[in-house]
Amino acid sequence: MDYRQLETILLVEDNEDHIEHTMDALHEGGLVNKIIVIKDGKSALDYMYRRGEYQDPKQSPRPCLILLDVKLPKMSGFEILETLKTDSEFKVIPVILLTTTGNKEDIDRGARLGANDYIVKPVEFDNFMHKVKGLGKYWALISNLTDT
Amino acid sequence: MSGEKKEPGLSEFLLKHRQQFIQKWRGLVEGNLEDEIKNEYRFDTTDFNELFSAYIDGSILGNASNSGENEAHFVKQKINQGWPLSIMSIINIHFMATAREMVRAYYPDAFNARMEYLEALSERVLHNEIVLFQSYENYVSNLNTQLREQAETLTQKNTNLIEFIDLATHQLQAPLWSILGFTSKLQRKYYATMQEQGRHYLNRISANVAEMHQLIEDMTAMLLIDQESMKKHTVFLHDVLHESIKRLHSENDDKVSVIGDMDSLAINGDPYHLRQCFYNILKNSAQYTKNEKSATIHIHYKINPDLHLFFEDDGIGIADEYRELVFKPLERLKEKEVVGTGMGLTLARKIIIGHKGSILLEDSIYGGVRVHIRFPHTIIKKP
Amino acid sequence: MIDEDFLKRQPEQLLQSLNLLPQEVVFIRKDYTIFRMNTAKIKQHPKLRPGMKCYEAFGFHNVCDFCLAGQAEKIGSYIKNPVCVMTGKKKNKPRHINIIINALCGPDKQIYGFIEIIDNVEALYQSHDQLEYLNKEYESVIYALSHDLRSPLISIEGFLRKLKKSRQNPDASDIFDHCLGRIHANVEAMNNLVNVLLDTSRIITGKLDLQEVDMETFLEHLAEDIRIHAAERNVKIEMKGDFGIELCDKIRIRQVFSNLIDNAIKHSGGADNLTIEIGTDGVIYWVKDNGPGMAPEIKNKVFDPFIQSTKTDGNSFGMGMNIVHKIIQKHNGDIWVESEEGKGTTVYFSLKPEQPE
Repeated sequence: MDYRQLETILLVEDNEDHIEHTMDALHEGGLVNKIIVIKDGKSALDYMYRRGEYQDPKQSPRPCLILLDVKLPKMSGFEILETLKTDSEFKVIPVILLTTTGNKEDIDRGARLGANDYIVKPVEFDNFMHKVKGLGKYWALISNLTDT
Repeated sequence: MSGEKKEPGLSEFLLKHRQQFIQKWRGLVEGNLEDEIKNEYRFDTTDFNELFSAYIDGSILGNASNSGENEAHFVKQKINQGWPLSIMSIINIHFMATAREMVRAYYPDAFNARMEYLEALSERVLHNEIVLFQSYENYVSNLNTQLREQAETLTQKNTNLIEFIDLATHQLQAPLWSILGFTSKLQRKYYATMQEQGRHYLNRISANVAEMHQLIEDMTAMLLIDQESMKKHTVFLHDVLHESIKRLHSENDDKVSVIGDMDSLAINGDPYHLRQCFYNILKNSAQYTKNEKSATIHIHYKINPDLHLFFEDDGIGIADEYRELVFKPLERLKEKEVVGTGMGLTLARKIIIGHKGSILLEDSIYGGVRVHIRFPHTIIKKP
Repeated sequence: MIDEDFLKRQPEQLLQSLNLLPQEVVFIRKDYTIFRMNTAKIKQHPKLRPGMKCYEAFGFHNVCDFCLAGQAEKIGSYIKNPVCVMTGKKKNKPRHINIIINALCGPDKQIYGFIEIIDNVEALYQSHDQLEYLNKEYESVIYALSHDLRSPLISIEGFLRKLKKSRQNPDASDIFDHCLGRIHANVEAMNNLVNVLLDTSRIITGKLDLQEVDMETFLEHLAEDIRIHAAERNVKIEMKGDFGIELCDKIRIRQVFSNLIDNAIKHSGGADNLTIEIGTDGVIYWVKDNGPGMAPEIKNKVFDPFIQSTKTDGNSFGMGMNIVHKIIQKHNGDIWVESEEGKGTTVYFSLKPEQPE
């Protein structure tokens, strides 16, 4: 697997303030992976399928991890999740759902649709790393990067 | 779990439980036909399915023209083919019986309550005595009482909910004001000496507080807009429009120009809510402009005999697939970074429905969106 | 018993009374001919005449089916029981009606005809519909309010933290810290309120997760937890009575007991000898305390939302009892309070949840 390919994290989130907080939390904690931010579900899918403005594979690298907000404009986070997890190519990419409430219904629904884990906002670095590590040693690469 | 389910009409029920119904029905019919008849007239699945469909599509749904068949036609057909009338009625009786059993199983409380009442009524008629007949006037008023009671319960529940929401929103406003107050204090005292980062944080806090405040206001507005709460009298749309434009201009630095007028159109309406409605529509158009240009909104109308109002803009427009979604509460398309809670069009629609009208989004010849409002001719006031 | 002769003898009086009913009533002979109908029926079927065959008038749905079947005993068993709620058709417009068909028997117990009563329940459906629609809307407002307020609260919290870290001017730090502190406290307050709103909306709109709960064990665990948390308060929690198995929503019922006990502790005025008794007589449960009791004005409103007495420690919204009330209501149970100033308070409740299908 291409080392560079594993670097990118995709953040699908529409709230500017939350984007700011999440990015700050992760960068301040020492994460050096590139984070690509996409603000609505449709564009996120365009990115994954390399359609429209995301056609250039160099500009749209495959993410090694997707942080997906539940509430998005036009399409709900759950719809995106379902699309990703039923796609043979994308279903292996771990998806962590971001939610403002630890709502049991939302968590259950996410689990049923194949989400790998969830984080209750605000995203904090320690919690984030904990969840990532929980996804399996396969992702040790991300935490190694933070140690450098 | 049963409980608060409302019983559907038979047609909806049948559509939902089709397979189960056919099975049960068939079972009952076959169990109740005398053997000789069974031997002489064999039922096969096609007959049954045809008949069942005829029942549903034909008479139950009131859709007699569906494929030209209704159950009466089907019955006549079968009789002509030699089926005795008695078989048809057995089938029919058991249709009713099956429906009864299934409805009772799914909605026991409602079913039993109604049935008890009607059974009592029917019993009385059966075991007549004239004096009991006269007590039917009591039964009539009992029915009305039943209706009234149910309405009262629901009304009470609604009142409770509204009161709760009212209290809750007040409770929320209090800390909100405090946050706003202290944020303003920080801004007044420290803005000048603060670095850009700090200023940015304070600005964002204020913006979020404003958003919460607006959300609470919008939610409260949602509650207040219903048929009863609107105070309607003759109102000139020209005035309503101009008030809305004035409000828009006071916020937007004249970046919006409105062309067209409502002349001397008058309807029976609530001016406060109509102003809110027009303002919300204009604001939407003002925000979703192309390339930071100022918005130009064209207004015109026609009477045919209903009143049709049109608000057309030259903005970025709304894709077909989202034209219903935008009316959903808290739904924001975010094609552009705009400030809003996603309640504007929701409230506008509610207000229009409260005036017995309707609202649609269409394409505009000016490139953006055409908001099409229809008011029934019954509320137009002649000059 | 109505029979033909009787009807012949008393036609006017009978008809008069029947004509008063809003229900449609029609009498049909066994040979399928109609012989009496009331005004309500005529209104629906203006072409109706005595002597008409019922299947000519009504189609195959109605009582004529029973006539046609010609199987008296079998009919009897159907006829006695009313037919289901159905959506009938009148000129292709569906309407909500109830139909009851009963047999008319002579003195010899022979069925000689039928009576069909049609009850129009349209109004019931309509007002029901409307009110239910409003109901749903209000519930969704509560939900939306609590859900969508979280997002900005999370944002503000984040910016507060950053402001704290990046504070520049050491001289003015007192006022700065004070303002930040106040904002933070209010954000906390709103967070709590939003939680309460969310919980309340879930209780109102959600389904109960019913299980068989061993009340004895369940309550003992709860009592243990509370003893640990309220250790410094020297609260005694006792159990009284035989607790059996109860069908209920475990999490919500835990909330009920927990809130009631919390309330008792909060309103104890710091007394040292507070004893709380959790009891049952097999049907009713109670939570009893020997605290200061409630004034009558408070007692009457104790279950209303946002009610707080002045004796609290300032850290609640006054929603605890309201939530308890809603949970008990959701279980179809009853709840009531006995309390006298100086003599303590007892909250009684029962649970009667509906069986799941």
